[in-house]
Amino acid sequence: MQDLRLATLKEETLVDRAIAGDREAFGELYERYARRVFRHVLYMVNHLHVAQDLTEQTFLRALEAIHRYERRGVPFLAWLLRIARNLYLNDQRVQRNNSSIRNKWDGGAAASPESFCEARLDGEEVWRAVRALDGDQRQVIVLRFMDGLSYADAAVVLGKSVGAVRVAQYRALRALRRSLEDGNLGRHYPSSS
Amino acid sequence: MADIIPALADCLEALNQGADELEERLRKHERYRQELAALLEIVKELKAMGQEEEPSPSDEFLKDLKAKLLTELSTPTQRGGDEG
Repeated sequence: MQDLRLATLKEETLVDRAIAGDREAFGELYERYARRVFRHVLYMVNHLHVAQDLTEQTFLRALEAIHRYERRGVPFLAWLLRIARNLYLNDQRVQRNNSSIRNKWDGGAAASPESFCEARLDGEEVWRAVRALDGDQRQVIVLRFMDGLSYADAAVVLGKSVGAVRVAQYRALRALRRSLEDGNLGRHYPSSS
Repeated sequence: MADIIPALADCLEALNQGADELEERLRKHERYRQELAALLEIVKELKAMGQEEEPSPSDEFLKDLKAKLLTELSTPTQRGGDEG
């Protein structure tokens, strides 16, 4: 259960306490960010069990490395998502070396990103187009527009400059537009001029 | 391409500031208006998807993982791993 006193503390205070070994402070950081890390990873891998596994590994790594966090000067969420990105990239490398293809939903009755997106007007086709982007472009889209990160924080996660994130963002959106117009029911974005 | 990237950033900044502000920014970048308007429509859909509460992890998963992490914290171990 979430401690209401801890819930009012600033992130920096919680991180300081967690570095000092305060279990409850780390628990509060977990409460604040576990759902967001899970969602981010799920959007990237589209696989419930892998998303759960990568979320778990992300927090275990964070626990191991938190003493180094304060030198980074970045929001805790961006730091967590950078750990998650590294784990995701490792996972992708392992998958490439295996013959198995793991790109379908395995979460049983739980809501997949697709099934959730189907509930929204046009959500399904937009999500399919996002899934078709390459890994870096997909992550820029997820970080900026679904996670709501700033350019600076997205740059920390991706290990790129802010300028490079802006370029990647434009290219990813352009690729999405092309995909939606060409591949999905002749979708067309009207000119507003 | 170089010019449209800052134009897109400018319009994205205006996206939450109301239709008038967005229209002003689009006028400022008239040369790219058509492409910017199309990209901004996609961004609106993505942001709407990001605002939803689902998909979300199960309560059981969250509870079990928290218990595991707090147990790890209680166990004196050599820490010092990196961020991946």
